[in-house]
Amino acid sequence: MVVSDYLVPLGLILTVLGLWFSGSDRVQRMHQQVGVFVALTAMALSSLAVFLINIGYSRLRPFETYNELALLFYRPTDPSFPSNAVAAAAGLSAAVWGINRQLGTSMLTATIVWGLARIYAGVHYPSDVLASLGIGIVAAFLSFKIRDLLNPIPTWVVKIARLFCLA
Amino acid sequence: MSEFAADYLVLTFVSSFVTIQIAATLGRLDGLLLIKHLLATRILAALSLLGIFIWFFGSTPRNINDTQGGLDANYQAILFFYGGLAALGTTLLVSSLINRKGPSDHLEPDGGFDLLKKTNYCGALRNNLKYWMKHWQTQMKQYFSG
Repeated sequence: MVVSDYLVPLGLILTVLGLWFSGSDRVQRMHQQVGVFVALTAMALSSLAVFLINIGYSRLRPFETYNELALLFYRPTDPSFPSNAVAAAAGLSAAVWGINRQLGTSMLTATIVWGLARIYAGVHYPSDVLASLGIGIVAAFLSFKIRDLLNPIPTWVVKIARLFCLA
Repeated sequence: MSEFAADYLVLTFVSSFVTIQIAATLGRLDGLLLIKHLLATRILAALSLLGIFIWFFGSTPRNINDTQGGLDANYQAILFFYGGLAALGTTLLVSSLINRKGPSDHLEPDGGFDLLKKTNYCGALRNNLKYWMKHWQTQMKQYFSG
């Protein structure tokens, strides 16, 4: 179940959804809601980075290289390096860590466990997962820089949502 | 839409609905709550979340490649968007009906979610829009001045 394509990603995105609603006062809520945009940007940047890497480099999956390996998952058809799923999850989690340490730590832990499960299942090498974690962290850092560059646009979006009582 | 996608849509709808309820208890947004008791809401929500995930993973095998009937990441994102949007709409509608007795006039203008601590969504929206119709010129300046 942990290795599945559905449990951890949905759990992470639901946490981000919860972040939108859970601030205790207006200042904290604004901080978290702008942070939701940062997290989604980090996830998108991570996926873009994996896409660009895969154009230039395509590594075979462990179960394709080692025939004796017992595969505990379906046979993915995309390249092994880096792990697209873990990179997107790491981007999302690292960005949340930047706005809420406790929640971000839980999300990063879930991402690491997910990565380890995918290594155990035989669909990734440890270096695929490590590189993906690095990509996610860098993407989150860049997303905060983008937020600073684009400010006050994210704040306007939240303010407009507030007019409709959606923020 | 495949049966798998329909199941995933149900999963995203229920889990988003329940997550909004849990988050509303944390943010004390009483106007969004279906049950006023915070602890009862959290316990029921946690059980519902557990239940829907058990149903999704227990009903049929889910480790399927997207080329063989599974869902790729983009399709998952689209389904989550629809499921989440439906959950939000349902929350706003149902909570407004349940909490319909709350005040809807003379509330703090431009309160956003803070209004949901005192009244239901429809009342809060009416209050905000009424205020904006009257004071849109000064409000525009305030909104876009940083």
